[in-house]
Amino acid sequence: MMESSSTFQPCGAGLLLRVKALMLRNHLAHVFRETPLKIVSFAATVLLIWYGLFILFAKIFELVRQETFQGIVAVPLILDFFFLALMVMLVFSNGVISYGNLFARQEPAYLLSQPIRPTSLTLLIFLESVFLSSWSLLLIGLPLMVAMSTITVNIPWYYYPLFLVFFLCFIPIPGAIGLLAAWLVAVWFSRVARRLLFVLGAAVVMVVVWWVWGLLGHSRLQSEDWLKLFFERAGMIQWTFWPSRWVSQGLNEARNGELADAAFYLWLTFCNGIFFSWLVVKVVGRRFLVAYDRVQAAGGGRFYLHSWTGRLAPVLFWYLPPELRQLAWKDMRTFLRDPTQWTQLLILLGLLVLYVWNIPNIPLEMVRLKEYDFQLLISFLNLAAISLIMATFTSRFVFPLVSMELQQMWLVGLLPMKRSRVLIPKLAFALSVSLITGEIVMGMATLASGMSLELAMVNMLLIAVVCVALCGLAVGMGARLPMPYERNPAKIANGLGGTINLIVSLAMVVALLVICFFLGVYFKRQGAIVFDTNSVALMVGIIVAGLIAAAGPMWVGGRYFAKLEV
Amino acid sequence: MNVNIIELQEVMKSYGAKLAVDRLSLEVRRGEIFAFLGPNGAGKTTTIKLIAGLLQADHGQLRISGQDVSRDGLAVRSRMAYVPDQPFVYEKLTGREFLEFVREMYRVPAEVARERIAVFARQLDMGSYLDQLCESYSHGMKQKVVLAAALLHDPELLVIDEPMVGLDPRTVRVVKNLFVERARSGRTVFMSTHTLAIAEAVADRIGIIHQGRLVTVGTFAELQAMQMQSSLEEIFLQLTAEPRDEQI
Repeated sequence: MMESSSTFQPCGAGLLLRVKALMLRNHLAHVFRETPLKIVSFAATVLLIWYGLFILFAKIFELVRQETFQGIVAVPLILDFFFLALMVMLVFSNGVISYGNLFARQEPAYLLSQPIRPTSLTLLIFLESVFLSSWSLLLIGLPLMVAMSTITVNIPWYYYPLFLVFFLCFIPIPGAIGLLAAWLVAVWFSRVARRLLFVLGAAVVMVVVWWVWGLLGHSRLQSEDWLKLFFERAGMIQWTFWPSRWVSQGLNEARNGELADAAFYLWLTFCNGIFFSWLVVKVVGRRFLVAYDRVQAAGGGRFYLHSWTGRLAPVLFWYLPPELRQLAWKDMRTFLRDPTQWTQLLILLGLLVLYVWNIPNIPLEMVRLKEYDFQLLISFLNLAAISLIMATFTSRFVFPLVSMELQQMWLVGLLPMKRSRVLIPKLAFALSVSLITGEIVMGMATLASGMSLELAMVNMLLIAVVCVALCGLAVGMGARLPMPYERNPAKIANGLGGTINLIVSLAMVVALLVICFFLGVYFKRQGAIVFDTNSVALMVGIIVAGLIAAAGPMWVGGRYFAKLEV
Repeated sequence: MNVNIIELQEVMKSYGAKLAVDRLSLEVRRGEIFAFLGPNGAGKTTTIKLIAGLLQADHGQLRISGQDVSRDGLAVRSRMAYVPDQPFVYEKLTGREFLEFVREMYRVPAEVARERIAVFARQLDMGSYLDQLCESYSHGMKQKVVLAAALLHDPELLVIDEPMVGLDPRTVRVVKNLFVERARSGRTVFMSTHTLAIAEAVADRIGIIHQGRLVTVGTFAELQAMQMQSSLEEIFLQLTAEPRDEQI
């Protein structure tokens, strides 16, 4: 029997959503049955993050409240800033996820060949990206909500459910903007889509830095002028038409017991969210095929540098045997040829350079420190900033390396060597990138702050230890918690293993910084950088701790990787 | 009823500066198995994607059953099926759940679908794994499920890219028979393949594309007469010859 097509009524998005729900159910059932520990560790990690963030937010609010005048002004401002920053981040994450889901996966190609309206597919992708990108808001928002309640006496009960309802009404707005941006990029800039997204990201980050630096950079002004400037700048984030402003205003009203006003802002957010989402899904859905076609047709050759970069392999990886050198060089080539990788690192390093550039502008009278103490403080801040950037880099780009290599196991797994040795070139690659960039930025920072040679040497040594520890950890964890069937490195980095790696990396950076802090305190007491028994012992301790932090996960990961069946 | 189910007129498609399909005109009749051959990068998959409505032609007209693919896409897609070279299934669904999803998309009555699934499960030997998650399937197992999904609504036109890759010899025989049965019952199969023996064995007509242009089309006997060669391999090599091919 052949079904009639003249009267064919296509299924709506409901069927697609039902299938997604079925897939989620199957996945959860599988995970609960096969790896219950994964669920427990995930829940424990989330609770740990929630608790940590709650403590952090509660402390910030407590500090703010102690200054009565600033407290009155700052608490609503913190909410404004938080939701605006969140909106920008959500727009970007929704844009990136929507672009990938619309144009880069096999699923849309399959569904577009089926009798389904493109609008239904667009709605599905919109809801998926909103769901996927908004968990971070939930992760950060819940502790913020609870922390905020700690500074308000007699907070009304409805503040808590309203927070969640505001959250649900708010997230479709950045979701729709992200979807629209992804579609626009595909229609007009399909050949340079990814690069464009990162350039836009960099531009937004620069605006934020300009905004913050504008406030800090004018700290020498008289306090009245500074306040005036502060409110001028604050006006930018309190613009009435920002959806984030409606949410922060509504929550403030709810916190102060003004239910009617809170309900007004909630209604405003809800109506705009629903209308804008509907409009964007309709527009993108109707012209989806045009965008899809342009992305598919946007091929063409790419220009790669290989004449001179090819000569770097023997220099960078001289210490590796030839077969491992080729593996390390393969990772380096992939890194150099993938703008999504190096541009992100470049953006992060750009921010650091901006910070370094402004170190000489920091007025000593403001920090009320002697020059030597100030240099110790700055070197500690340099170390913290570069370490955190490196932790982000290793979690995002180094951790997925082993999982990605598993797809080449037909080749790599058959090489005439112990399988665990495959981890060595990964470490070599990660170390090369992180050490070169880390040391260059640290060198610039030490020069900019006019540090003594001894202090500069200590700083360079410490950042090297941090890089070794972070790279070893990321490679080892990547081998111990791989995602063998995932081809998207971003998903590997954002998966459970990647999240655990990020948390452990940050914890390790904090631990190393604590030891470095004691070293700084010792140098402060001595009044100069002295290499005596105590300071050398402390530095050796830091080096040993860093090496153990790298070697431990490498050993565990190597053992697991050697027996891994793919 | 229009005798041709696929009609391409002067169709062109570019990827940036590269012209993938160059003024391609082709007609495929109802009830025939049409084999579309060509070297790698000749434009086969692009042509198939144009027919499936996944790409839009830069120039020319493309009709399925007399309906314009870009204007009446939904109606066209409801009466055809497309199987890509990389079979797509939802990894977190079982094969049976995936087939049920396809049934609902095409609004096939549940009873009819159940019978067809039982037949396909038997013919393609899928019974042992149809209730397992697709993520555990091999390439060949996925290909079978995708093929069953494509045939579930009994489409007028089956467009299939490399149908036999990953299939065992027994299944290849079953699939060939399925194609022949479909053609006998008035349905059309348009397949792109590199396996010349299969094209030679089952295709009613063969088209060869080279550098985006259709270099020949006809029955195997017609091609033999035109090129004065006995085997399809010789005909193919002759028509798609490059200067570097002298050594072959």
